[in-house]
Amino acid sequence: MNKILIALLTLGSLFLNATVLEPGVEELRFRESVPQTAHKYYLSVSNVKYNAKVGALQMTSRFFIDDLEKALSARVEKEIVFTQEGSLERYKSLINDYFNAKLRVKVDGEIIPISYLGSELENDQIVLYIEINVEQEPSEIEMRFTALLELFEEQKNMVHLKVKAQRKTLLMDVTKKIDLVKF
Amino acid sequence: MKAFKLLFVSMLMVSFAGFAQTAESEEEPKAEEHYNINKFRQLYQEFSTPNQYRSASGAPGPNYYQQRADYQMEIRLDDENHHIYGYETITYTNNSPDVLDYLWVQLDQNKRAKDSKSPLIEGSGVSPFMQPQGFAGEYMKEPFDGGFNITKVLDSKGNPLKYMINQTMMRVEMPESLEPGKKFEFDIEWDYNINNHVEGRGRSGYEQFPDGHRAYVIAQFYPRMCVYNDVEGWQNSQFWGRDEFALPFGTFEVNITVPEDHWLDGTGKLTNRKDVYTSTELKRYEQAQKSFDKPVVIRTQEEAEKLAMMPGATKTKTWKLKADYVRDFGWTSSRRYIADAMAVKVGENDVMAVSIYAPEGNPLWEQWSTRAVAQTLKSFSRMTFDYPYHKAISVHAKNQGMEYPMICWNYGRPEPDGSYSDRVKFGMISVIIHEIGHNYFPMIVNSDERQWTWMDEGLTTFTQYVAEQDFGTTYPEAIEGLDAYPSRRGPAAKIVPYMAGDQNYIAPIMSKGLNTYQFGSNAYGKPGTALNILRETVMGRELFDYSFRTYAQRWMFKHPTPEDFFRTMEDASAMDLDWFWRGWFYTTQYVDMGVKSVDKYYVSSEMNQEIKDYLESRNIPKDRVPQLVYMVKEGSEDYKEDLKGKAPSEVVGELKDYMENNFTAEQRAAIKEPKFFYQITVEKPGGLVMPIIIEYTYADGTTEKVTHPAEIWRLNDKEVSLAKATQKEIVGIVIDPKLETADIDTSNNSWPQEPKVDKFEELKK
Repeated sequence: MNKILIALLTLGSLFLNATVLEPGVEELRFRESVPQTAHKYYLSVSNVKYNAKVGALQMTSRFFIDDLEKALSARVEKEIVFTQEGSLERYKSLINDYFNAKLRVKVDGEIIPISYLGSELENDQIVLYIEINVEQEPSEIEMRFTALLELFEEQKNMVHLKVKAQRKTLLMDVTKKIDLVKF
Repeated sequence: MKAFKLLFVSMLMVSFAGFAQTAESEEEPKAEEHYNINKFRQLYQEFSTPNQYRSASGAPGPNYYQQRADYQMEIRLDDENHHIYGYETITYTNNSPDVLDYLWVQLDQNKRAKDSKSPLIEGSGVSPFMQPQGFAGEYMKEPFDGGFNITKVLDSKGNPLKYMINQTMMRVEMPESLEPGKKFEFDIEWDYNINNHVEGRGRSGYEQFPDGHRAYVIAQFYPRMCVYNDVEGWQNSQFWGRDEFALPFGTFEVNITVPEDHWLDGTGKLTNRKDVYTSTELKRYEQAQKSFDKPVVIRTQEEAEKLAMMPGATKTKTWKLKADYVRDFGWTSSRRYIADAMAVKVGENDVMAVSIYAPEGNPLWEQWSTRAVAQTLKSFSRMTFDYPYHKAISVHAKNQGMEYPMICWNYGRPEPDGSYSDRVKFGMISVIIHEIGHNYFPMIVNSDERQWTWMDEGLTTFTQYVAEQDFGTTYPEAIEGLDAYPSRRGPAAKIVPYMAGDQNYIAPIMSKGLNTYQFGSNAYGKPGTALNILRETVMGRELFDYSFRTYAQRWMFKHPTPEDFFRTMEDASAMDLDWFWRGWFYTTQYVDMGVKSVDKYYVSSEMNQEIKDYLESRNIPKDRVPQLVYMVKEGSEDYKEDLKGKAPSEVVGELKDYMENNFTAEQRAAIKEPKFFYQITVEKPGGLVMPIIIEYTYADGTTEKVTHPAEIWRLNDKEVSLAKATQKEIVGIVIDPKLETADIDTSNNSWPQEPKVDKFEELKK
């Protein structure tokens, strides 16, 4: 009995259209660095997706906690520690100011202010949630992302974007602070 | 009647298939002709052909050979001027069937020579701004001269030998060609400036402390023989700074002269312990040899700090070390050192787990370093072979992790006030496990690091994950507040960001390390995770562990290639894994699967539309068709509400008859008739083929997990349809529920689709 059923089910599947969908990409949760070789790696990784419902580019950025602590401590000349209870809330405006100064986003030729929503800790990284309000799905995105460049010569800020179902990457460092992609 | 039925059904199947093909070719242009691109084809093109040196099984072949290099060295450390003077006698044995005209010797320190070409292959341009220290170093200072100064190259009679230096490689010409089975003995005298490894970064060098004293971690300090083998000939690919080393085995007898107040240790057995230890230190060492549960301090913090306050001895002491069957030699020396040790039982052997650190490492180092060494020896030995050396040393270096036989340097330094974060603590434990673990790969399973970084880093990262989890179990107090040791690499989900990244910044694992992007993920994270997935999800622990051990034991004290690993894993397990190696190691493909659609079917005795259409298209009268069991899709025109949940034999009388005619009453009683039939179409936007792990949740809340082997994708790489017949209604389906496969997009893995938690909306509230 089962054989016939299976045969018929198999036959049925031949009629289904074998369309191939564009691979969707879940936002990148965690970007590894290279601490196990002789060199520590200075890298931040961000993921940006256009959310049409909200009308915004939604960005998650991951930085090493100690690197960002160092950067903020240098600005306020006191020791900032994120890993204590409630400290992310306490330093929210400080983080907000820092990223407003270090991240400039130009969408289709127009500078759009970023809104920093909050952050959370994930292993040794801090995850920042940032929105950039844009009504239309953009055709061109330019970023000047200079976080931590004042501290580490080798810092690289990498931003993966998914817009109009295309995936592209911006890479900024001391030699190239501004990067641009078109969709 | 029966015969007719069968004939009809098979006819139906054949013609259906034919019909489908015709229909397709009318709609679409003809698909391109192609070579075999099936993802399950064998790796005949990629793999080298097995031969007398390397067998098809992945084991060393009957004519496998390896060269041997024995060293005798006199080394003097000039602490004041941080300079090393050396004299060595190398005895090289040609075990190959080839006649050698010259020998190649590695001069790794020439990477730091004034005229090194390493800076010239950096293409990132001018930095628009720099730290003053960096700027001065780059543009204003004379470049640091850290290359080897070769002063003599002599044959055994003291006659100069012709040599030529090409960057980090030196060709030594022998007076006569070296025949198979013959030895050649020669001497080299050299010296060089030791670099500051903290400022300038390096695997070897010194750290300068504010009190004026230094700690040395010294490696690549001597001209070293290259590997000559059946695969590369001479492995004399230049050392640019990233890709590590390829070295033959041999015996090392090394005498190192340092200021008499220094504490020194290195690769090999200390043969004059009585001359260099105080009687108190000797007594403590003997205690440590009997202490299997906790480390015993051999040289205390107080003793080290006292010496650090003094100007430093001008007299010297010579430490004598001898090591058999090692591929390299490393050593450390400082008057500021604390040392502790404990004994570890590994199989039949008592091994000493040792830690050496400056006071700056405490209180972290005295608590965890030696324990981490001990755990590594136990876990790695379980996964491979019993640790064959007599000791394993973890040395504290400020900001690097680097491995040598029996000794390694590890980071993890508390703040000056002694406080430290969990990140520093777990970073330190992990790097110690990693670097001590390198004793197995590549120090003993001696792969070619210059060409294949992943063979030692990937295998070590994988085994490191196993050892880290063991560490958490052995020392629950170390992971207080956590369920398990917080491994950074190993679990499948942690490699997702890399796998999902921009393809422009990803290279296949089977690439030379120098030429890859995201080196850490490429050579450590991805292969380590791939092996963990292979173990947990594809092969299962029993098959994997046996095969992995077989590989380690076959190639212990030998030089394996990637194929030797791949072949052994298959040879010892009866699993054809070519598809796995191809996908994970030879490509940059990623895993992405999803539930495309779920259709419910019920059994009906009435002819369904599909058959009616078919019969019509072929002009076959309906009454020619015998009674069949028809499957009716819920929601289709043929579907009727009363079909739902009925036993098939109640619906189709002929089925009941068949059962009564063909099954005994006993058999019939045992039959649990399925009432619900599902067709689950799984799509695969990702290129990697992987098993489909599918979890069904039934209406009564129970779940069932089914794993379809990767071979389910052999005929259709884009989508497959599963048939599932059950007695209970299915209310939920999830693919890869435990995130075992590194699926980069899990938003399409559930049916019905689960609403995703939106962190952005949550934060706005």
